[in-house]
Amino acid sequence: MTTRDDIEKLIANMALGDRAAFAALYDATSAKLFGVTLRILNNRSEAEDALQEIFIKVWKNADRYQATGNSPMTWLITIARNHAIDIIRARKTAGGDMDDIAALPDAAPGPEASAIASSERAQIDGCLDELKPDHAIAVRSAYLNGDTYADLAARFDVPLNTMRTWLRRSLLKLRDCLSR
Amino acid sequence: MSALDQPPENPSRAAEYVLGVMAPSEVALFEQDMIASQDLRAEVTQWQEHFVSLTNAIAPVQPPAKIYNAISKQLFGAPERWWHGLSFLRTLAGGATAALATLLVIAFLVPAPRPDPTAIVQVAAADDELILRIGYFAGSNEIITHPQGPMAREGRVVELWFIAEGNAPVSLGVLAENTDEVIALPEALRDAVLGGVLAISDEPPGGSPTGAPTGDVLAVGNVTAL
Repeated sequence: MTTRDDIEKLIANMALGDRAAFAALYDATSAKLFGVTLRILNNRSEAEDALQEIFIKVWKNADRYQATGNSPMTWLITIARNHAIDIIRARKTAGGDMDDIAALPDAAPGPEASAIASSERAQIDGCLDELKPDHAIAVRSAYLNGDTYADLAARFDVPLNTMRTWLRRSLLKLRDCLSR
Repeated sequence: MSALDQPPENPSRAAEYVLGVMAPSEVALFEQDMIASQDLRAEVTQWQEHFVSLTNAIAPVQPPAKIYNAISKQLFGAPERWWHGLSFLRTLAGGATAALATLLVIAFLVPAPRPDPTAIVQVAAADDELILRIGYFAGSNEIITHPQGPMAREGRVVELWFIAEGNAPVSLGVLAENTDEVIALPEALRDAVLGGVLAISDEPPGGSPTGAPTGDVLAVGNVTAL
């Protein structure tokens, strides 16, 4: 089992050009990052290409990790998530493909993931439960599907400004809840 | 509404930024503000920590073995470099007697790097999960095995086999768990290594009683010249 400290040390060594540390970090974290990428992209070959690019970013940005103040897994997963979202955005502008958007996985986790989730519920899950269900779905969907205000407005069939107001209010409520 | 439209007064900006719902122009503006404000940077970090928990429910998925090779090739110009981490003593242990090893250790207190292998083998299970990495060194006609995690089933062992094209598997012995091992190949196999296949099978403790694999073949890999 690789601990948070282990991963932090590997990232620090990578910043110094240590390739063995990179190999070890890959072994320890690639399955999680691949799971996240696959979940967001919902396409195996795209996710495989993305995972390559993600780890190249991780190697190249290892020296910036310290400054972010993130925990190591947050830093890694955020890089993976943002990269996957960028791909989704590019997909949308390239094709304007409504079919692809419709085919994106639902924000709710699958059955096997739900089983894991029940034991790993984080503070944010509890706080999302306090929002109206639609609003909670919008927040999850923005994070896990890369939905923009325009996507969410279309999905919930409300005007763009209404969506903005919804989401901002939800985020403020979330912030209050998370700081309790 | 109008107050919420003014980005500087919008207290949810950091969260919107982390979610990625902002328009590109807003993002640029926000990033500029972030440079100037440590508070804003701290808020972003905090939201990242919170939102990342939404991925807790996502189960890990083992990526196919080829991905690491592609990354390594792109970053370092060579497909495989893991053998550099193997210690000199460990690489000696298979081929040399203990006495010879002692002499050599005295002679070379500084560990010498092993040369790059002639060929590598990614021994992967049917679902593409990488089980074992193997390097072949033609100079010494040896392989180094480098397990990627637990291999054997409960109360069983794994045995390594070399299969030359069209021939019966030749046992290279039972593999220890979680340990790199150096295995000298029979000289007769030297010419058959490239183009051959390495596989591990599930066997009773002590290894196959028959000299041929008796249990499930757990993982297979082609010998790939570097």
